[in-house]
Amino acid sequence: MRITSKQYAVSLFECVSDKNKKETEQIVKDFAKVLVMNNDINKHEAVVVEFLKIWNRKNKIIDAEITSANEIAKADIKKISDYIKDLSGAETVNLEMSLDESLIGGVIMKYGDKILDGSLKTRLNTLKNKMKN
Amino acid sequence: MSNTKDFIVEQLKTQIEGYKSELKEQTVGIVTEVGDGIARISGLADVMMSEMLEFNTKEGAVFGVALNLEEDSVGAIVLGEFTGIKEGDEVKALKRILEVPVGENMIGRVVNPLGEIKDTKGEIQNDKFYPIEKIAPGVMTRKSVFEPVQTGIKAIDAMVPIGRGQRELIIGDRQIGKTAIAIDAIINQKGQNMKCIYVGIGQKESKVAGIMAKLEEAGAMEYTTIVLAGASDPASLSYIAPYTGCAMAEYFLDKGEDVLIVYDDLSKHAVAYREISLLLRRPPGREAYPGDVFYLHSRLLERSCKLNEENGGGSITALPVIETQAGDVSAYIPTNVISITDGQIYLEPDLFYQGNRPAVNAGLSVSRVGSAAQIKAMKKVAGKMRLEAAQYRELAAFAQFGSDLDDETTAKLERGKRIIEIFKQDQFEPVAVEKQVLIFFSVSNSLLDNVPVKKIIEFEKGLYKYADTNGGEILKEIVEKGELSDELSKKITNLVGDYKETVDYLIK
Repeated sequence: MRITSKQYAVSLFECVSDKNKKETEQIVKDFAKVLVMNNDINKHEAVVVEFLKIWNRKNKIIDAEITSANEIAKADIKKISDYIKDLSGAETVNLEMSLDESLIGGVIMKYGDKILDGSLKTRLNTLKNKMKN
Repeated sequence: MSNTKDFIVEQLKTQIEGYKSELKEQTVGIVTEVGDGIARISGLADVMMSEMLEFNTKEGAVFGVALNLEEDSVGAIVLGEFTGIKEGDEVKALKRILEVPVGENMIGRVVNPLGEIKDTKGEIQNDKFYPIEKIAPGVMTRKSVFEPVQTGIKAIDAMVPIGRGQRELIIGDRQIGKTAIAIDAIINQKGQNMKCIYVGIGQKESKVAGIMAKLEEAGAMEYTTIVLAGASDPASLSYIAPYTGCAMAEYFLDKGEDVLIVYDDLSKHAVAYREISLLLRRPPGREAYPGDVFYLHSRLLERSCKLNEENGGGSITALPVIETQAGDVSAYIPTNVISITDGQIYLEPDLFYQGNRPAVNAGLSVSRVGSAAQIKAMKKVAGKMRLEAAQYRELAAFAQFGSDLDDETTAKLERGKRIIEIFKQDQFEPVAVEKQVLIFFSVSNSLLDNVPVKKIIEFEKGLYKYADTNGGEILKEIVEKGELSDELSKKITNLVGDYKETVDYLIK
């Protein structure tokens, strides 16, 4: 039977949860051996991706991406990350910032598979479409 | 000048003031795999079944529909050009079921299954949208079929009558006149208070262009919409085409109007759905069709209905078409659709090549509800004819072997020959119901027994002309009363007798 990378990740997560550092090291070593034994070593990258997903979900961590037209002040970043915590129910937010001048103003927040588009560009576009009709 | 300027500024101000920006949370996913009109998407956690998706590609937005919701991916069909979609493209869920524009402005137009124009008559202004999938009306909103759909085809109106709200299957081999029957029926709806929708599924564009030209010539485009998924369009468009047509019909249904919808043809629809299903890796069943191919057609045809007065009293009459392979009606799709519909018109190759066109087989064609919808006069004259026509075929095959036949058999054969002759009809020449009653009355009351079989067609045409000029009153009475009183029967007999005096080919 073929084992999917998701199944590997789930079992690895179950093994390492509530173990100390030393035990974890041994488990990971054994896990790598199992991968080699099953001829699935080329799946290791996919397993890592899946493992991170599970880890983040269990520990209520969420990745978020903020795109804005200008640099955002520290206080505002705090507000945004609190807002995302509120919406998603996560406890920790990994923020990634990027700049895009074409937005004119406002921000686009991406977290998980959700998007909140609060950019001036999008608003102007919707206004344009509304006036056209 | 300044007035207009002020007006524009004022308008602009109110528009902008009235504009409320709202922040909407959107669900997005990423394309992981794309090909053959199918896309696999990761993410889109809370997407609905058959929800509309928007693919943001470099060449603009393309729409799709989510069909498979799996544990860690979503399978979607792409409606339109899928070559622009690349792996890693962003997909937005639009939070609504696929909708198409509907309305009065669709009449007389040719559109694709997304409601986009395919003809050259300019943009369509529509403010109404209907979802393509809708649950069919329930028991309490319905009423049994009671009004006729006059197809103008003698063989059908007499033997397999169709009522408003009925679903009558047209089934037969390729090139045998299935579409011709449907088109004739559409043409005959002129002045009958019917809207018509022709749905071409996987049809050649040239064929549909021909159909459109014919409908335009006959003035039938004034009440007809053509929905076309061409042979070169992707399977996804063929798949949604009949549902689109039905959504457009439901707009008129909701307004209490009567609609005739032709699905040409559902075999190609099933094939398109099979293609999509196999690409989405759903398990194949009989003839490689997926398990829900019955539901595919039953949910479509169940939307045809006759509503009761409280619900507007509108109706959708469906004429689905099925193409059989070498007359095999026991294949998977034909049996499915036969069991869903309220009867079928079976077209037979043998009859067709003998020159009996339309090649309606009297024995295998049935209408399970339509006879309730015939006008009384028609019911009276046509009642026996179906039986007589069916018996004639058997008898004729049997009579080939013997030359000495008793008088009764000879009479039956002669009658049968004349009935068969009357059922022959050219394409695009529908016959009004009162004239049908006239000719059927003549044959079933032995008025045509001394007209030679070869002259029947000529006699029939002459009789119609004669009735138009000399018997206008009688024709009017048939339509208005709908009943054949003794007095009216006498009048018709006299009319036919009078006409017979004018012809010189009667058997003495």
